[in-house]
Amino acid sequence: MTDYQVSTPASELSRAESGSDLATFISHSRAIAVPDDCIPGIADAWRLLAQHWRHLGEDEAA
Amino acid sequence: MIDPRPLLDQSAEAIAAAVRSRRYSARALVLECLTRAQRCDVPINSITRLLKVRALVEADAVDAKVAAGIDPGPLAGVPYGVKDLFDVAGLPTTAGAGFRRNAGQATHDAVAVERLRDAGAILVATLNMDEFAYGFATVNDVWGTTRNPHDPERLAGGSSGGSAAAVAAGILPFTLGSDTNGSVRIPASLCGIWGLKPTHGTLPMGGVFPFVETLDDIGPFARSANDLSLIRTVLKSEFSDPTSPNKLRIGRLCGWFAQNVTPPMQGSINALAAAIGGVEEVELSGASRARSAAFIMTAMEGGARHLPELRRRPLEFDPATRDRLIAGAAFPAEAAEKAMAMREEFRTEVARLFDRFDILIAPTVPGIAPRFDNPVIEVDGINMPARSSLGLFTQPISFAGLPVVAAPVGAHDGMPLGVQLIGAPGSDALLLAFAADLERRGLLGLGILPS
Repeated sequence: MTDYQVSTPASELSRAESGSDLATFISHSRAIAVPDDCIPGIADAWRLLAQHWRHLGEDEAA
Repeated sequence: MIDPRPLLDQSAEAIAAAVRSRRYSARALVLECLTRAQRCDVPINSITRLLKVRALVEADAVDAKVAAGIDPGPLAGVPYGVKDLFDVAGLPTTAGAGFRRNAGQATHDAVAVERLRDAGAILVATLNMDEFAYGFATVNDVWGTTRNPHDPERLAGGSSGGSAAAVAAGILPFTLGSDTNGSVRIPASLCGIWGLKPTHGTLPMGGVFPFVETLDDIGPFARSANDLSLIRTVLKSEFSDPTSPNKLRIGRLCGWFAQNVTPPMQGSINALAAAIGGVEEVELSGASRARSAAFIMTAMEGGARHLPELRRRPLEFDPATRDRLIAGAAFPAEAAEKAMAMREEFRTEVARLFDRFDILIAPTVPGIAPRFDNPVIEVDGINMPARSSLGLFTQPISFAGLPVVAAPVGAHDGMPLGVQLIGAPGSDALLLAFAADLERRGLLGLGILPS
């Protein structure tokens, strides 16, 4: 089981986007325990959110 | 002129008129509706619970009022259903989640259900949805998949897919759903019926299981714009004079809303704009960023809401919901702050546009309903899952809190195509009057769909 603690710091976003080891990017104390085979799905969802966040920033800069 | 169709196939207004004038009893109508539901719902799976006992008690109460010379209300005897996230007294409110089947029973009806009952409507069924309203597909792990009545091999849309499919299949004259990012508008369009997403915060949310409160609204599905209007006034408990849709300034959204649109959808909107006349093309800047912001806020607020249950029993969630909620719960808080700030900017941009226009037209979805064996839509040349991506054109609009009427605008390969008519905040009555006018002129509505 992997422990997910909630709310990753923004500074860790680019590393977390790789989705390879989200547990590394934990900052809070609120844990979600999920089986390891859930990680790919969560990582995909995370990457999609990260794309949208990047899109918010990109357009602003433009 | 006498309508030759069975009464259950007519408008809510016509059904209520028949009951009020004692041409038909509410009990007979409800029994007919229950029989029809049992016969017709098998291939589409729109219903999660049939409420026979309750429906007959309500019907008898309406009939008793009519017999006593008391007006039972503008929806007298009209059967309807609600998405499975409205509180119904005596039942658990599942919100589409299997593990909530054993949740405590609701002690009261949702405010919307109370108001409809007071207007004489009869609650007959609860209806299928994506788990916790997080999806555009109505593919539910526990209650199964709701299928499109026009072609059961295609999606009905979601998350209020049961509500849309039940109306499109002729089982119920109207239903209620909820719309956070497009969950009324998308299934209405894919199933070829009418749907209303009201100005944010104007219809009662009491007793409705929340998803993303900053974006959630309830809204009706029906067979006509007039029925939407009638149901809205009942839900608002506010009866005002009819609004005249004359001399309106109509814009057609291009830019983001013209990309990734299939040729049949483009053709239907071209035809609508030409028939209306004087429609000006206009760009809503920031629409794609607004969609991104809505996407982020949805995952983060939804994730935060469900965090206790995600911690307690993550494996009891539908994996497609759980993974997105966990990602949202774990996402940096700065993203939500930025999304909220963007909302203010976007609202300003939208307000500027409504200085020049009264109503805007845009596609609801890129084309017809995707097939179950290939549940994707193409976005910028990439196939994206329909379940999470069908809100391309609906998310920016609800992000700004605008009222929208979703209407059938055409068909392709026997499947409906849907359009959004978008108004300024608070212009719901005007928008509905405009929609009804286009329906009368044969430009929108069920009449333009294949039978």
